[in-house]
Amino acid sequence: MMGMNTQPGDALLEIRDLRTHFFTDDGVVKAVDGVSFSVPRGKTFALVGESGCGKSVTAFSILRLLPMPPARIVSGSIHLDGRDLLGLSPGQMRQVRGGQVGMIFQEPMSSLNPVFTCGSQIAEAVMLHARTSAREARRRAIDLLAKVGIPEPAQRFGEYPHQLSGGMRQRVMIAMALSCSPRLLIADEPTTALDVTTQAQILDLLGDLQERENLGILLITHDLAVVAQTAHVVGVMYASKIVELTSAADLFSRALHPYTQGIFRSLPRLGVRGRRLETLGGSVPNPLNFPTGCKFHPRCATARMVARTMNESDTVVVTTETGPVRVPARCASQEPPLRQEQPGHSVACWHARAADQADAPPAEEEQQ
Amino acid sequence: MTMDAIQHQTSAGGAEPVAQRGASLWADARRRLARDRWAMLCLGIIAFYVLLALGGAMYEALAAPEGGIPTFEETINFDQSYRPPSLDSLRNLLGTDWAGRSVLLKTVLGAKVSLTVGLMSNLIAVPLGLMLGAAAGYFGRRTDAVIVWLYSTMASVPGIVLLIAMKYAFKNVTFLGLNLGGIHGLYIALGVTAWVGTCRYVRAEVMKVRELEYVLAARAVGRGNVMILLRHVLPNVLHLGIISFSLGVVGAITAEVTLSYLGLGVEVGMPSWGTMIDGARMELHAGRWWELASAVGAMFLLVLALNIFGDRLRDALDPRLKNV
Repeated sequence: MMGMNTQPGDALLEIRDLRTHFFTDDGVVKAVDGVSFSVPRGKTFALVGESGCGKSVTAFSILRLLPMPPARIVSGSIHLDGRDLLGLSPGQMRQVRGGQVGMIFQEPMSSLNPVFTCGSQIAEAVMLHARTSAREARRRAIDLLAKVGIPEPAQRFGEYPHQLSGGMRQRVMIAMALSCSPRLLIADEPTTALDVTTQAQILDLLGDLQERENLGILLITHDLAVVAQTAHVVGVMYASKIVELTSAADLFSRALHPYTQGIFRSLPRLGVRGRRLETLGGSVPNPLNFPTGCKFHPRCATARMVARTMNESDTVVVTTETGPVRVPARCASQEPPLRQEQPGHSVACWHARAADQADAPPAEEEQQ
Repeated sequence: MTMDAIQHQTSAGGAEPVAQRGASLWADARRRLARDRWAMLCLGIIAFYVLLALGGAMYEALAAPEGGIPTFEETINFDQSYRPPSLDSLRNLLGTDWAGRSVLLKTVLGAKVSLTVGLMSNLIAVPLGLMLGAAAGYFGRRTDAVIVWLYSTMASVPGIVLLIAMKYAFKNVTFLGLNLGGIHGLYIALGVTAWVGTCRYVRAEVMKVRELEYVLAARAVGRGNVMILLRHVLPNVLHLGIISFSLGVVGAITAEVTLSYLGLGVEVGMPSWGTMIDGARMELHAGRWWELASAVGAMFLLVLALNIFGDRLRDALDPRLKNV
């Protein structure tokens, strides 16, 4: 499987069993609870999930950018190029930030300091890690601006953020993140705040830069279209865990987790007419009070379907937002581990095979 | 990324005129302020007072006892007591006081005292408020708790009582060769009581700025806390310091006048608006109004100008009111 490295040390970024919890007055919020994945060199790993599933917290944990307390990385390991990031001192961590790892954010409007020129902010980042003169830093900042496709970079150097459009600002942010030639770029919803045209340009730019610099990208997004366009490997997150891990091509051709399938069924498909878009019943569980067993079972269509074929003694009735439903006992009591179901395709579901078959019929119906 | 797309971006991004380089927040504010006639008029008045004060300072520096220009004390001439204002001479333009000294000169020297007090006490108060407010807002938690406790305590004691207490405490105290019983003590007393307002504004604003993504971005490129605070947070709240300064001068001037009136301000014999009002209060019923009128008038005009200017400055620095 392309880029699916399972042996540690081979990948650029290797996260094993990461648990980041928030210790609040209301209780412990397990925002990230046992997440493992790796970002291959020069490839894009996309972490997809809805708001509050823990994808951003995962990204922020890597650079330790979370407010601690309340947040704490309880356990797990994060290896970058074989070096354990969790063992670093705050001073060493600052060297990693902006040095080996660059990061760009969702909101290009507020990611730049309004009182300084764009150029001076890039030059600042350059000088922070490469000890250069101000003149050299300025030259490199202008080079970077040119590299991210900003026309007339020398002139743009002296402009303030409010003089640039959203797309331009995101380019400046990318230039800043790339100022010290990082090996890994963390992009936290880099295109969410941009319009579709600009979004495509920024994604193209990231793809170009990846090719030229052999850049590993960890892309955080909730947008499956962005994933389809850019990602090589995808992790789908639901309620603090990765529930499906596979190549992008595989995910789009044959999703195995009921959650992922549900999402795909809720997307309009080109050329398919007259079929109602399905919705995922219920809502994201409260992280203070996750369901026992598989966290998806109260919303899971596959679980209900499988329960109908089982002996009643092997099932239980659980109360959900939408009323009582009968699900397999194991779904409600035991959390499924993420295990390889097909080569290079891991799923955390007790009934992934049933889910696979369940997803097939609608396609056949259309053929009839 | 194709060239076409880049070109397209240029025209989209360059909707605002590109030719003018770097219209920073400050340049914008300056331009808006320069268009504001009231602000400019008030700035003119303030500048006039500054010149008067400089003149007063120069006079004091040049005047030497016995010989050359007579000092203010040496102009005592009881034959000239209580002359009403007249156009006969510059000396008597605003009349004379009980000792026959020129009220005009006294008012000018008072302007020097007032502006110095306003400047010095705010040079203590505003940086103090900025630093404490920024630290409280940025670091939060225990730092914040301590600073909030400190300013809540300060704010809960009536300012004038605190000032009086400090002036008494400073009596006969010398620090670094400065006599804290006099005007230096006044700077400090006003300075360490006036930072609360600035601190609260700055703290609130820093709490807002702290959460903005450019602070996160600065951390993500590897900046440490202190540099983030100095380079990314403080410049974005500095306008609060400037506004506090211009409005704080007003507070300091009125506080000096009040304290001097109560006999707790400047050293005995030093001409200031407060001592003038104090001295003139008994003479009002004898119809000698000019000393009181000069001091109050001079103070009124300066305080009004400072207040309006401070207000206009706040508007000019408020990005929400941009281009209105």
